[in-house]
Amino acid sequence: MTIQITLQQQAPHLAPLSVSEVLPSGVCIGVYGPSGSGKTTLLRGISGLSRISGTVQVKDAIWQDENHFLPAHERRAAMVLQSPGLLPHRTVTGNIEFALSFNKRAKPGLLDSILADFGLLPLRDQRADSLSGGEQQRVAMARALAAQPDVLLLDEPLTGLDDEARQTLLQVLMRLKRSGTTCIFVSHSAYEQALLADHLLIMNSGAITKSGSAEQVFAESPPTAALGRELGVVISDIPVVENVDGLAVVEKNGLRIQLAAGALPGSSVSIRVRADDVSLTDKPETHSSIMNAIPVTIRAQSSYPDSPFTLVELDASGTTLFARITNAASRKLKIRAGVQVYAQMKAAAITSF
Amino acid sequence: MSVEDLQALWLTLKLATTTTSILLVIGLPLSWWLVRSQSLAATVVNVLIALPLVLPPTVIGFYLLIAMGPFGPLGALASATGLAPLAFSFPGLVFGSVIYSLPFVIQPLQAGFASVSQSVLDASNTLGADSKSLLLRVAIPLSQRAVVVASVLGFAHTVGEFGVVLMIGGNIPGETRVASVQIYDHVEALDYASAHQLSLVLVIFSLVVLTAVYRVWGRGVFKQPRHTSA
Repeated sequence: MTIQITLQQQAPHLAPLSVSEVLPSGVCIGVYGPSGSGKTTLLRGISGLSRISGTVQVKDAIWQDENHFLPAHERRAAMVLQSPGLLPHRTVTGNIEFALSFNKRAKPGLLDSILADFGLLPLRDQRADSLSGGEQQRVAMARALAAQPDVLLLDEPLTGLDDEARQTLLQVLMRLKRSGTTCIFVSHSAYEQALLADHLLIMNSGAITKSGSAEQVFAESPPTAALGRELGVVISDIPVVENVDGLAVVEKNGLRIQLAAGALPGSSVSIRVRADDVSLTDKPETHSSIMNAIPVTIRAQSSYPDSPFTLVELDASGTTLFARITNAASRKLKIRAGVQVYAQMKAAAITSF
Repeated sequence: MSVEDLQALWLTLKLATTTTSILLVIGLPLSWWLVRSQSLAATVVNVLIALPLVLPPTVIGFYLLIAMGPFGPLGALASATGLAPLAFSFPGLVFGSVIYSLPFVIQPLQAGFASVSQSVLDASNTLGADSKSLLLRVAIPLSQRAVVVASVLGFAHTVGEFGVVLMIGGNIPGETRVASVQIYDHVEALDYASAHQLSLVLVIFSLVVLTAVYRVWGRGVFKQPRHTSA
């Protein structure tokens, strides 16, 4: 079962789009790219909100081809936008019932299970316009799922929210991803994509410049590019050797890393170490909350033009890591190729998947 | 106040109520279409609807009279279908009033619908709401204030109508002689006392209606729901 999208738009005054992709279903497809790269145009084309010529086929259903164009309300694609778009005069329950009223497949009890799943039971009788931005977005996601869409379209749903609300919603989305809901997640945040995307599309000027499993796309992206800088490196399939109270220890080729994860000994995980989360020190601190202090050798360093940062490439027992530090810190530590230092990482900063 | 005066007042109320109801039934979907369509047809329709705002009422009335006459398209239609002719009849008055008051209903509705947040409409659309559901369940509930303003303006404008009514309705007691025409008759007959009485009734009526609307409004019954911020 796949999603096939071929969309072309070339006209003055319209955002250009030229996309031809076959995508897996049942996973979260991340769409990453700078603003103006055509991410939203692509979603609007898939949803039918914008009439863009081409074909869209989701599993067995043809949503549009040369001869047919299903309007947005007949496509089983619910969309959550950056602005929640709730009916402000209705309650939380009223908003979800609005979506249920169009969903002929809805079984009785769906409303309550959705309210419970999204932690909305305490808010159920509140008017939508009395909720905080994060709560509204949570209701918007619950409402979209009440439509039981074949594809859930998410257009920068976390942009503009405060940190706490963003973290809460990220948890909601990660649960969605694990549940096997097909979603297309547009975001210009590499951090969000790192957590959510199974399959990643990178867009630029209306075209897809890279498409593949998220791991593969991340691994290929040079760490100096925005994506890699935020994402750092991915280390795949490291065996878990220990797990005490949710602190897992993974080890591969003598590289031993501790991270907050539920994975049990005997299993393997892939981990991501962001360059921004790695700090360097010449002697490891023994009394510190930072659980990882890994001996590394500096391989190379590069600083960005007009930027106060230096990206340091490290060799950790044969595995490459990156650290992004300030130029001032680089001078203080006398960073140069061949020097041995310790790379410090908080266990909480390392994500596993 | 004479029986004729009361009859004229009653007829005015009947005309304004009928006209306003028809205006809402036509105006709500028409405004919705006009706001959402970018076609040339929408522009043309918008211009036609706005015409009564700039033309003298006598010009509108004159053309309506010609159209409703035995050689006009509406008159021909009436005789072909066996219906009573529209000219100099109450249904004819209603028809003329609808045309004449249409811009006063359409324009506030268009402004109301245009202010409904696009993200609310887009999200609802992808949840399965078609254009009709979007109108009835999203746009109208979010434009209550505009609907009230449109109804009040449509009603008040019909009550205050004179030129069109005189041209197409004539002056038939109990059938087409509305309050504004009755006042004109009193003045023509130099019966200023009767003209005063009836005029005062209209002034008081207008004050009461407008005060009631503003009071109800002030209490928040028609408070516009806040649109979620973008």
